[in-house]
Amino acid sequence: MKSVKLLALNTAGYLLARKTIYVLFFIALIVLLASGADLYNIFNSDASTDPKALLSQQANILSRMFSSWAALTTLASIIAAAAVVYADIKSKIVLGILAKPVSRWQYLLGKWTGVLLFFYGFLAVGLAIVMMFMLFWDIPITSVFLTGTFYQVINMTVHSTIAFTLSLFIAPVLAGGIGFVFFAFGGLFEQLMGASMWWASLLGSFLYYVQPAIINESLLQKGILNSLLDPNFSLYWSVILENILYASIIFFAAVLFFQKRDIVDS
Amino acid sequence: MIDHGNIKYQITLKMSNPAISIQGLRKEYSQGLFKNKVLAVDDLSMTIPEGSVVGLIGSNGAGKTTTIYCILGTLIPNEGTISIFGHLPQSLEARKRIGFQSEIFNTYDFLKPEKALSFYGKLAGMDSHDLKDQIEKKLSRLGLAGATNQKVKSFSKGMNQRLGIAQALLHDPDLLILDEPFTGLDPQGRREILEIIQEEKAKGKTIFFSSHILSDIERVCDKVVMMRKGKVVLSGDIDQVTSITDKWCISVKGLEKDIGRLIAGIEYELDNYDGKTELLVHQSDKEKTLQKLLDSGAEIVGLHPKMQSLEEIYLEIDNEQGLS
Repeated sequence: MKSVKLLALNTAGYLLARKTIYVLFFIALIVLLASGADLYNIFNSDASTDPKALLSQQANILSRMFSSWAALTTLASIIAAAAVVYADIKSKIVLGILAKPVSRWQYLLGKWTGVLLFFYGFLAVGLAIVMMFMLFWDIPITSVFLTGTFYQVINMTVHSTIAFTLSLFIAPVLAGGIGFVFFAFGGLFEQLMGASMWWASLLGSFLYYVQPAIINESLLQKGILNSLLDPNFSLYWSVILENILYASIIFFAAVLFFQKRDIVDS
Repeated sequence: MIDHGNIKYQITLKMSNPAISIQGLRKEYSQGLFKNKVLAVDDLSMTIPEGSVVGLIGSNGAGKTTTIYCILGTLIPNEGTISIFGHLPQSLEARKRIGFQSEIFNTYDFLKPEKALSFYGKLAGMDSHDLKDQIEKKLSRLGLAGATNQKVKSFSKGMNQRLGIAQALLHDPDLLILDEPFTGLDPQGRREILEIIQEEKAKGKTIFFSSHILSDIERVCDKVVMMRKGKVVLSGDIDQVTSITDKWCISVKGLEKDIGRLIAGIEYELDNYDGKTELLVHQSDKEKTLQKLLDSGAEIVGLHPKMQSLEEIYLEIDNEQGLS
């Protein structure tokens, strides 16, 4: 596991040096600018404002802030995950690594965890900002809110894993594209299933069953507005666990196939 | 089993494994939209004994790099077997004993050389004390001690090559595999790498490297393997290979002016230097020429088969196969 840790830390350092961090700072700036006007209104509300309406406003802005933050981070993670092994293969850096006593699975696990660690760190920063606001406004941190944040983390994990594993076998642009389509348009596949054209319906069914599971509601907002335990709580967790299993299975399958393939063209 | 009175001795003959053993290696690629098959290496067999220095030569596309990548386990052969010190190429046991440098060494360019070497050393399983010591020594040996504050991205091609050699040597491997180690190096750098190869050879290490610089191969290698279109066309000890010729040199003193008359009817080439005359004759004419010269009272001062340089052999094989 020493090699995996070393490769993971190196990958995180690589992403940091590849100016990915500047893209992320730009993302953060967009998110904060988009929320600026609403935050100003909340800070300037007086005692006459209805507390329920104020809480609703706060819940809306905080969930919007973190969801946008998580969505943009997920997009960046999909791009990075699709490119990270490809970059090593293209530059032949992978040769120097695999000439050392490092197994192919250790290499892949190290690269994968490195990408995830880097973007988990960025998600953690976004979460810390949202939680600071919640503490400032005396909003309790509920189990549904935490479930919602964890869902965002797993959502990022599963989509970047799709891009990562596909990039081992197909062009990184295509791999990242598939990860992006699942992430951005995943909610539309169910509607496509009901399309009148048979081929669209068939495609919708295929994509719906192939894509990771989705929760079609904002758990973050729900968690802020309602401190009571949600009746669908176990369902949320089954979706999260299903996605963890999904990411693990495709990663494991990719590692198996990667064992027997040529790594570089001579 | 040896029976010696009441004592029985179990004798085990420990056969040492060759450093690299390749049997019937075949590797083909799929290329282009229609996945056309391209044969890169065909039925290649060779054995590289421990402690030897073996040079792999051949024109571009001969299959040298493919062979090296198969040895490293990064390419999976279609047929054949490869073993490194008796282990499969992809096994960790094999790779613990290998130091490898690729043709153009690339590493993560955001790192400084010490960090880059530390990364490779840790991957090789070195402990931190030994690693620190070795990094210092290798940076100094490869002339990179003055570049420790620079990031790898600011390195020249030659500095990258030196760093590549440093990471390959760092964990003191038993087998060094170098793919075109002189690429991008100036004459000084080339000389230093040759010295390093000789130092490693003196330590009993096995070195297998490919190069286009045939004079360097001739200078440091014990054996040479030449590839053409994926096949081995020539292999053997350097001395043996360079002496394979059907011509003999006969050095004589005196009678220079009469040579033509004395050995009339024999095809020969003539060279004069240092007051000696050197006659180059075909093997079949050797005895006849010697007899004629002795009969005429010429003083024969030397007789040896004509040696060919590796370059001459290389070009000759190229010509035979219509490649040059």
